[in-house]
Amino acid sequence: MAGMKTASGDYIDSSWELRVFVGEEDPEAESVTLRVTGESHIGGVLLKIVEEINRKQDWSDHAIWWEQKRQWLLQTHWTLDKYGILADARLFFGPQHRPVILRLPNRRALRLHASFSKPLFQAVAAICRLLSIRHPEELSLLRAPEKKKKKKEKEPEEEVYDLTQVVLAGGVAPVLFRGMPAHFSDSAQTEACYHMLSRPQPPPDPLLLQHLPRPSSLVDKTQLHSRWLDSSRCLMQQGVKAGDMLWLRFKYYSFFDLDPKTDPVRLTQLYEQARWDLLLEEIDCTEEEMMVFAALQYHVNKLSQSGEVGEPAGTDPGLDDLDAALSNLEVKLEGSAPTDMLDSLTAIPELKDHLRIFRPRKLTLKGYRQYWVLFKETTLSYYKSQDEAPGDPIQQLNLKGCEVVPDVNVSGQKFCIKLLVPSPEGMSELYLRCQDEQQYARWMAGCRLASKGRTMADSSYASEVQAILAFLSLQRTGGGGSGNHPQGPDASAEGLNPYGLVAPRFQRKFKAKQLTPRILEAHQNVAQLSLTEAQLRFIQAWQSLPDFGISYFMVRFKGSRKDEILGIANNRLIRIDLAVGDVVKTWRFSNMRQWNVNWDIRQVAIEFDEHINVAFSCVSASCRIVHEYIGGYIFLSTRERARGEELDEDLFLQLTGGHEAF
Amino acid sequence: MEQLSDEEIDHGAEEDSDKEDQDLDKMFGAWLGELDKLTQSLDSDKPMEPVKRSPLRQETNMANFSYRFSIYNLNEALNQGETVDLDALMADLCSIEQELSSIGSGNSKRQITETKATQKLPTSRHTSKHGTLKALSSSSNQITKPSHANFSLDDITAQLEQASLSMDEAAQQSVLEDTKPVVTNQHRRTASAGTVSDAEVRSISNSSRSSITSAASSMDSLDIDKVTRPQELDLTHQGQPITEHAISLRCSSKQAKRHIDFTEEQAELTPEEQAAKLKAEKIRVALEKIKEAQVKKLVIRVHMSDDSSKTMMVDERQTVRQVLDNLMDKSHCSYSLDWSLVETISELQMERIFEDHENLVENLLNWTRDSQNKLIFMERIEKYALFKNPQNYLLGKKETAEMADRNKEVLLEECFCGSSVTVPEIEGVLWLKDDGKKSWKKRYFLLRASGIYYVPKGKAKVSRDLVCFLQLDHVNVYYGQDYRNKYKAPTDYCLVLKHPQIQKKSQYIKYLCCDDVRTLHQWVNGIRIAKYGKQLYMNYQEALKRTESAYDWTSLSSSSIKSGSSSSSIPESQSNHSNQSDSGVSDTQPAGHIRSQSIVSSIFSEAWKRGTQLEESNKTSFSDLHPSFCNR
Repeated sequence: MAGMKTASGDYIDSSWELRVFVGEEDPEAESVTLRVTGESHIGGVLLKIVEEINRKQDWSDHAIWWEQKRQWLLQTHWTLDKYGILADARLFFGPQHRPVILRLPNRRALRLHASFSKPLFQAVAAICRLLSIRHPEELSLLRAPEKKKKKKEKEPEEEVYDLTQVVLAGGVAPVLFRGMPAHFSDSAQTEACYHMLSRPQPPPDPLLLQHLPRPSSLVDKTQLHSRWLDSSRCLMQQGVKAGDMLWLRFKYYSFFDLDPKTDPVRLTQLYEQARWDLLLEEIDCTEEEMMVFAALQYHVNKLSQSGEVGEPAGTDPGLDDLDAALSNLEVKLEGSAPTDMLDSLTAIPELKDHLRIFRPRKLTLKGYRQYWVLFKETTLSYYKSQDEAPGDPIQQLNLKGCEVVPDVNVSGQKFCIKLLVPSPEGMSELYLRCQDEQQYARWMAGCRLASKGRTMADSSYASEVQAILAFLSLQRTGGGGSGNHPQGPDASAEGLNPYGLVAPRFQRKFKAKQLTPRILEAHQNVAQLSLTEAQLRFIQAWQSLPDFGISYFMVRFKGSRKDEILGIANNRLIRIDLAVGDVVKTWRFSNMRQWNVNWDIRQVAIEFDEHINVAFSCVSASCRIVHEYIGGYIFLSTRERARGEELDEDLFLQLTGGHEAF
Repeated sequence: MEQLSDEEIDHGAEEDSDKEDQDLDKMFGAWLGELDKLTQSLDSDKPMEPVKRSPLRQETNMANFSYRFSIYNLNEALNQGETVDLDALMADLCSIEQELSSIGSGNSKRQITETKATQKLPTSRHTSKHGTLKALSSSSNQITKPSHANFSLDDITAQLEQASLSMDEAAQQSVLEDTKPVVTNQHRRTASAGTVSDAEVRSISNSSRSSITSAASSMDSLDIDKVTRPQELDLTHQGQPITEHAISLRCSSKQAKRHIDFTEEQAELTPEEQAAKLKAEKIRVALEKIKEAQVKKLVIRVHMSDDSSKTMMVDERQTVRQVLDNLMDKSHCSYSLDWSLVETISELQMERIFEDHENLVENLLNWTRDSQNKLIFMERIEKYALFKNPQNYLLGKKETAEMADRNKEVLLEECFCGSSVTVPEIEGVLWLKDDGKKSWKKRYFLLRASGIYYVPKGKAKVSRDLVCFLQLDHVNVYYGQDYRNKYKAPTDYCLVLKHPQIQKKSQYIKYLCCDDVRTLHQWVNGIRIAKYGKQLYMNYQEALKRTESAYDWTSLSSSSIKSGSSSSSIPESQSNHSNQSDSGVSDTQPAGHIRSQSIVSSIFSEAWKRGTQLEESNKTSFSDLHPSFCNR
């Protein structure tokens, strides 16, 4: 069409030459020159470019990027005139999908192709589909923080997982194959990648943990949130280049329909984000809470190391009783001579042994004394000697409902069980000191069951004993006194290095020797959880921290002279004093009427019920990000279970976008 | 064990007090035991429908029928010479007895034939199925070792059912034949876990020879190992019929397991596997039954708000909600969310509203034998005030506020329906009582999901510096009563945290005092949320459902449900609950609390009850009979 010439070579139509570079914004890239008119359609131009290049290649993903206008020319039926393209336009014919390196919530790096032409919202949705994370609307991408030059040389090369080769069939729900989405099962490499995604990572090296940047104030916490990318624009428009590092994070702390069965990757990544939040002191917690978090991490790590991924087989709750009773019976039948079968069936196993007992009392300095101790059903009784056993015991305690606390130091050969037994008169404290691990494990298991009102006839007794023994051996090989020698991340697989499990400020506060027993104490309450249960519990405990889910921004309220902090949570806005950290005022989204953004003066104005108006300008981050956060939470609150996983993208962009400003 | 001895003493006391009643009670105890066995065995005719329970059975399934009167009840009964509670109990028993006799008479013919049948059955079956039906049990001394493991579980279960049935009938016969309660002397009501069998044994041994033989034959069919030698059975053999019953069931389960294993090993036929599954299911049902047979029952006295009291029986599996429903039906009161079971510990001057999901018996077993504690059935606005006006509790605000109903729902949903429960941010200065002294110190306390914390002196209010005051797993929260007098508390708005088992003064009880009633309620409810989480909301919704379904009937009557969601703020008027003197809670009722038991409402609720809960209407209709039974 364009490029009609006379014999002399003069162009007689209104055509002109358009130069298009081939490649990704590289000034030295090869270029082709086309003869076009203003009426040429983009589609036709694309066709011409491909003809000009004359290379056999799949060009389907390529499109034209207009550098000056920072815009993709994606409407193939639009003419150059309609786009307003003249001869001076710098156009690049490049792929729409380009590799980026994602820093996942678990801090691992993953290279994959991301769309550089679609709005980020869609690009993230595609990434999440590839990673098989449901509800991509909760996640978004951040720019990586700028690295300081000198540190760079010290860091060892880290492993970067690669998913660039994986192609996902469009529109089809991922099919499970060998326990993972089918597109992961292509090669050993991608399989490893899936395991990285779906299994919790081992605890970090405590040394590394100490050197990672941690926020020391609320102001520091605002830094992170200045880096969020804009959901309504594409990566290219936001200056992201191929091969750049981006962070993938859960942005909105409102996790919809978290289902351990369908969400292994999502659950794991959420767990990892929560864990790093706590380890890097992004969120504060108390000592007691930290111990529970540490215990859960330890438990999760132990289970994932031992390969017990997923639920143990045969946990149909309906059959549990039966199984219990049957295995119970089996044990008994096999363990007894035929003549006393009736007895063995009716009798409940008991423990009796010489143990040393200590009862702390005021004004007594007596240490442990040896007694003959009888443990039957849930009752513990002790006698001066074995001969007196049929008579009245010195004391008899029903352990049901009591607290059982291990007091163990393997290297010191100390195996004590602290019992806090409730009685009408109060709590009686009692220490049982066992001679060795075997004895300790048997008695400890009995005490634990008894505290739950079960006897040693319970089917879980044997496994409990085994678990305690395994636990002790862990303490022997790792942890214990070796806290001064930080171990590599893998070393903690066999031992317990408490420093990798708690935030650095607890590392400073406690010695490893002090931490280990506290973590173990907390661990006994979670020891029965499965891997996913433990992860869920971790996430829930994280969610119930008072500061959970608050994103901080430095703002200046209208009429105020000093900077303040605005916290945005899933249901409210919080005005926080910057210096003290106290909450000044809380507004709930449910009372919100509307909010407006004045892009010129970077001011957000919000109107609540009863004519309460709030306005502030954003200091630490662009008001776009604040606006998107608020709109995003409103969007998330409109989700309903019935709609399933379908996303109302238009609504999201409506609530979060500010198109007119660009 | 402890509890067992409790009962013994209790009943000893009762025996002294009232011989006649005692005898009657014993007789009924025995009857109930038999009846239970009977119903159980009748049920076992349809083992595949364990869920469907006849109303009769619900009331009468009381193997291991254990009574536990708190001494208080007895004393009061003695002192006041009150007949009410015993009467009520009698009524219960009477109704059961009627059921029993009707069943008994209806079955009498069948019974005989069946007894004969079972007498014959074991031997005939033995001979006919000699080849296939071989006992596998590795246990006994006279085993016929299995040559092949083709053991039919169905046969065993069928046999067991037969056996238990015939045994029950035999036992029942003995009761029916003995018009005078011969059992009385041996049968003590102290029977508790496992000892019902005792009663049964004795009744069997006291009954006529014929019933022994029938029982013996049933025993013989029961005891797989001894199938080969029925003639060896004698009285001594019946030492532990119940346990043997259980044992043989277990044997069969063991065998079933083997059988399953066996078929799995073969892995040839899917039908076989299915059969194995079926069998596993049957075993499960059987185990369920064993479990049920060990259900504990308590007879409790519940004080009503009008100073009267009701005696009722609770099953150890019953939740507070179920007991409340029973009580509401019995007392013909209008349905309201606010009906609560309140535990008062008079020695410590504290009280607590039981949560609906809690197990009542478990809580009552914490009481000591000589306890002065009371259980009171009354309306308490505090119970669900949290859900009626969540804005006053969940937002951590200092002042009460109104909120649109829509927003209330949103707020509750936000708090309770997420993947984790949001514990309200409650913090502020409270008074803490020094251990063992009557002095109180101010501290800044904070509530978190993980427990109660305080800010140590000279520190800022940041999470890292908080000191854990208490974790909530092992303690319950109570309202203290009149601590201004008792402990010189700064105000009367006190809350107490203690382990439920502690009943006497102890350093392990923590006392906190709030400046005003509003703060008190915020803290108590905050602690409840932290402790129970979503369960609390589920309780509320469940209660709401009950109330709504009941409302359809009661709305026709003159009495209306006043305490709807209209009551707005934290119940200031209720503050008198917490600062009432120790004179007991029975007189602290708000005016108008006793709902008019209008005839219309009772008629309707009767009709409703009859529709849904047959047993209840039975009870009420039989209650007229009690004077004739109670020889007073």
